[in-house]
Parts: sequence; C-alpha cells; structure tokens
Amino acid sequence: MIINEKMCVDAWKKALKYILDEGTDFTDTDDRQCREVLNFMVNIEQPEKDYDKLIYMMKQFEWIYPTSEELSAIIFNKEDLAIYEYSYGPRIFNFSGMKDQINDYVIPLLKNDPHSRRAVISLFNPSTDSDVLNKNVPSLMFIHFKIKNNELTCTCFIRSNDFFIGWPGNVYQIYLLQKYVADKLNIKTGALSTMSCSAHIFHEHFEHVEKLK
Amino acid sequence: MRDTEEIILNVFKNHSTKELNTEFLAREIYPQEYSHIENLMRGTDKVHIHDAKRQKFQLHRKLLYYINKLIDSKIIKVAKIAEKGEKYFILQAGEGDTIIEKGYKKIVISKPALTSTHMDQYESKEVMKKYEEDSWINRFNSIMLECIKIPDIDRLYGLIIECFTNINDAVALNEFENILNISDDKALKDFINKIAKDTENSGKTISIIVNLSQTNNNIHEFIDYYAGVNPKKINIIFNLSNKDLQKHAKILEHIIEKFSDSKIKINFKNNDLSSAPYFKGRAGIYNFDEKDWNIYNMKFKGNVVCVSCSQSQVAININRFFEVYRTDTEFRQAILDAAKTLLMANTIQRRKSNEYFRNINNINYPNSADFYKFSRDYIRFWNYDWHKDITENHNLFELIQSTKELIDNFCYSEETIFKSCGVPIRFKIAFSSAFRNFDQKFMGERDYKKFTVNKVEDYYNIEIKDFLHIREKMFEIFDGGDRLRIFRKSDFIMADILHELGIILSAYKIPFFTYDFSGLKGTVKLTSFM
Repeated sequence: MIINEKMCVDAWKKALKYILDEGTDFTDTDDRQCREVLNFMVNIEQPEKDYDKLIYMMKQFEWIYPTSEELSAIIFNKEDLAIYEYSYGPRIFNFSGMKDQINDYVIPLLKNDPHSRRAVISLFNPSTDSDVLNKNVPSLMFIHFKIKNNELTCTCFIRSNDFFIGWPGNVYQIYLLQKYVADKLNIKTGALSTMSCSAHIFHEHFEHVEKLK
Repeated sequence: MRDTEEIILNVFKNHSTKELNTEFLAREIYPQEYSHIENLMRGTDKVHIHDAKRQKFQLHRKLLYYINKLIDSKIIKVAKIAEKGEKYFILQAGEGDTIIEKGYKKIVISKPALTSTHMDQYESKEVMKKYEEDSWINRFNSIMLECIKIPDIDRLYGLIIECFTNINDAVALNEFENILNISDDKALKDFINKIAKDTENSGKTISIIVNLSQTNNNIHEFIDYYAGVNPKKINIIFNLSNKDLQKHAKILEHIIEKFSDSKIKINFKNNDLSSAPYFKGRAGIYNFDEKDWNIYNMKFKGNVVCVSCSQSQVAININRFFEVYRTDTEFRQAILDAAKTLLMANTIQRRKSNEYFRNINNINYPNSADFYKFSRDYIRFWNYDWHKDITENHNLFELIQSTKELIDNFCYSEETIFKSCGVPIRFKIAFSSAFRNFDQKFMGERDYKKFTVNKVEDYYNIEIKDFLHIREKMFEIFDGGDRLRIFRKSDFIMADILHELGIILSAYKIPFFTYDFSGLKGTVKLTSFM
C-alpha cells in the first residue's frame, strides 16, 4: 500500500484512516491490542511545508511529547549516554564509536557522485541488536538519500512503527536530517518517504485517532 | 555584597525553586518591622491602620531597591506579575549549583531542576509531596548492590559509601551471605559499626538481604552482634520459603530470640511468592518487578555490581486529598499529573546522567547501561487504609487499581513515543504504600488498625483471616511492594512463632512481612520458648 500526499499532516491522517479501516488486529508481545498493516509506504512530496506541525498536533493529547529541541538533540547528539542502550544520534554520527555516517560518508559520496544509489546509513547494529533477549532495538533501521531533479529525497525503513504517536516524531527527525544533508550539498530537500514494515495503532489510541479526523 | 542582598539570597537559597512574592520576602527579611506592621493592621484604630499601610509600602519599596539590584546583576528575575501588580521573583540561575560572588562574599545555591511541574497545585494544597525535594532529581532513591560481584567486605563498604553520594534513601545488599560466609568476626563487627554510624549521619538506610538457606555458621555471630548494636537505620531481610522453616528452625529460633529481646523488627520475604528482592527504605518498601527480575537473572546478573531500583518518587496523602478534592476523576487526574512530573524528572536525569551518576557508571563499566534497565519510579500512598475497618476501603482499592491501569498505559505510551523517536527510555511507575518517614510533617499521624497477634490461634479467627485476604489484594495492587506488619504481643514459645510464620508463608499470598516485637514487655527469656 502506498499513500501519496503533498503535506505531512494530510499523509498522516490518510495513513491513520487506512490502518483503522483496513488493518488487522493482533496482540503484541506486551499483551497490547494493535491494528496493523504490513509493508506500508507513505510518500510526502513537500515535507518542508509542515513537518513540524505534527509535533504541535501531538501536544493536544494527555501525553508528554518530546519537545522539538529534544527531538532534534536525539538525532544530532553524537554523545553516547550510559543511560541509553542506544540513541539515534550516536548511531548516525558515531556508529560503534568509529563512523560518522553522514559527514564522512553520505555527504562526500553525494558530492562526488550525485547519481549515487549507495547513500544509505544504518542505525541497526547486528552485533548488539541481534539478540533474542534485547527488546531495545532501533525501530528506524536505515535511511537512504538520493538526489533527484537536484533535490535531496530521503527514504527510511522502519521495522515497527506506531503510526499514531511515533510517526510524527520520526518524520520530524528525518526531515531535520534530510535538511542537514541538503544544506551541506547546497540543494533543496525533496520528497520524504517512510516504509513501515509494521504500521500499527494501539487500540487504546483509537478514540484519539478518531478526534484527528 | 551588601548585607541585605546577602539576606535576600539566603532566603532564595532556602527556596531555590520557588517563586517568592514581595510580601513573603519582606516578612523574611525584615521580620521585626513586618511583625510591628501586622500588629497595627490587626487593630481597629483607623489612624494606626493607615500608618501601617504607609509603613508597609515603604518597607516594600526599600526591599525592591535591593531586589532590583539583584535583578540587574542577573541573579534573580521577575517570574510573574499577579493580580494587583504584585511581583513574584525567582532565581535566574539554571539547575545545579550556582556560586554567586559579589565583592568578597560568596553564596552557593543548589537549585534542582524542574521549577514548575504538573504536581504544583497538589503540592500547594499539601496533598502530594516529592521525596527529598532538593535531591529528587540528581539522586536515585534506592540502589541494590550485588554482593556476589564484590570480592570482600572492605570493598563492599567502599561501594556503599560511593553509592550514598548517589541516593537519597536506601541501599540494599543482595545475597549478603556471599560476604558473610567469607568474612571473619572482627571484619563483620567493624562493618556493622561503620555502616551504623554512616546511616545515622547521613539519614540513609541499608537493607541487608540474607538467604537463610545459603548461610554458614557466621550467621550466629553476625546476628548476635547486630542485635547488640541494634542500628536503627539498618534492616535485615531474611529470604526464606516454607520448607526452609523446618530445615533452618534452629537459626530462626536464634534470630527470633535475639531480635525480640532487642525489640528489633524481623523482616521476611517469601521466596515461594517472589524471587525478586524486597527491601526497606525511609520512604517505604522497594522491590523489583518479578518479570524484570527473571530477565535480569537470565541475561544481566553477573554483569553489574549495582542496579537501580527507584529513580524518583512522590507520595499522596489520600484522606487529605479527598478533603480537598471530591471525585474519582480528580484522583485519577492527580495521579496522572504525578506520573507526568516523574517523567519530566526522568528526562532531566537522562540528560544529565553522565554528570549526576558518573561514579555509578564507572562502577558498572563496561556494562553501565545495565544499571538503569530495571529502575522504576514510585507513587506512594499514605492513609490508603483510612477507614478504620479496612473492609470499608473496598471502593478506594478499586479506584487505586483502575488508576494503576491508567498509569501503566500512560507509561507504555510514553515509552513508545520516546522509543519511536530514538530514545529507548525505561519509564515504569510502581505503586506502593508510604512510610511515615517519607516526610513526617507532610504525612501527619496515621490512623489505622494495627494487626496484632497475641497467640497462634488468632490466625484462625475469621476477622483476621478477612484482614489478611484484604492485605493479599493490596499486595497485588501495590506492584512496587508492600509490607504487612504484625505486632506480636504476649509471651510465646518458639514453636508458636515458627507455626505462625508457617501459616503466613504457606496460606497467604503475602510476599513481605515484618514481625514487630515492640509490644512485648520485658525481655524474652529462653525459658519462655520452652
């Protein structure tokens, strides 16, 4: 299934409706009831228009949503804090304490070869994440950057994606990273796509999702 | 720094997170003048009242002169302007220690993070309270040390002292028999003396957790010496199962004799019901989630020297709450607001973990992250059994239980949100009862029915059976642990107490209980046991 929209908010609402209407119910490992769609693709043509609006929309609910500053710090802070098993920033900018995947790989690669299809970064580390007892494994696994029509497009692969409360944060963060790379390449940002292996909504959030319609 | 400025800063030092209005500051800084003005205001003479108002205005103006100087120096700032233009001031510095130097004078003000929280309205009405507010973010509440990973008693003592700088309540020594069995008499005595003194000086507590089935002969000497010293802030928790009662009857008799003579409470954890440790702090009981503990044993035991049990905690005074608020909806909202506050506290702890908990990270290196994996926050309830007849509390228990479900869902959602955003936080909230020592002033007196046992036959009394079944239910609701305190009165023979322990261990789902002999008169003679 592919959802295609110009703006983030429209894509989100359409995707949520699709999951509610077409998804199948299951109980996850924590005994929580979900409605799920597998292999769910959402393509946003102009994410720059409203990528931050989703975060503000989440603030209407009873949860504490990370602030935009926190979300930005999570993706850009390369310091490994002992309190976390992992965090996106160190995985992107200091993978295994060795590799800055953006500044030392993606940016030079796309500068040298704007047609490259190899500009992919991994947030998944099999040496630590492929562990039966480890439940703290990144949901966002890969991000692929590709220049098309002189715009930087970005596609990410998310293995498990809570589409109601997680996806807004994902889009916000990925767009920030997309913008960071685009600025370094002196080009504009293009489409942003998310490929969710399991796109789901928990049953207890259904009434909140309904309110969004 | 001028004297008045210094006095003002000292007031802020004592209220480092609070917004203080001009009137409050004036009363603190010019107590005599203010008291004189208030006396005049209370009178009926219109001239005096008018004069008092004029003096009050002058006093405020004088104060504002110094306040403005501190504002110009960027030390304090206007927090808000209330109705009628009354100004509120707050320290301008961020969280942590701030050193203010002016001229030759220096003031250090410690300002914890989170100046404003979702709990504010409940705190101002004195129905909720953060535990040890000054350190409730930059200290954990309780930590457990794994004695199996510690080579000897000297190293254990060193680690306790290190941990004391990172906690504000309790350190548990798990599987202490690993140290007990290899230490000589003198070392054990020195250890008790030192930690007795340290706990007294620091106000912190230590729980020594002993698996009776794993101890050697050293336990006898240890018990004798401990009972002799009778340290008020050190507890021993005996882990045992029903079948241990017969097997270890002799040592149990010895413990009961010594502890009852010294009026020391004896704490038991039922291994048949819970494999996870239970221990006591000033704030209340702590434990680990049973499922978490199984994962810990399968995957992490042996990796770490210490494990965090509780990060931050708050208490709610239930009967006071329902004097101020009326409905169940308000109660649920209050607990949800407390949960939000705890989440915010955790967020700061995470952000500053390398600063606040550096030495803990070093102790567990290279498995530093494992320290935080099983930690929870606590919401504790005071006066939850405020109806004297506990059976009348049924509706309240149901309310607490349904609120727990709400909070569990909130925690799940927050974990999902943060995980989705690349921060795999652990955010779990445990419910438990509070001890009065959480904060004696806040808690006030507790009015409850003591569970008193005079003889073994009491356990066959219907009323007592009903009471114990209700306590079983409370243990189910309080996933953060609870404690049944049994006040044992009247003379007894040893077989009676062992029989009573057998009943509790085998017939009730009560994982943690305390025998309290403080009601016994005089010293129990050995002959009493025969």
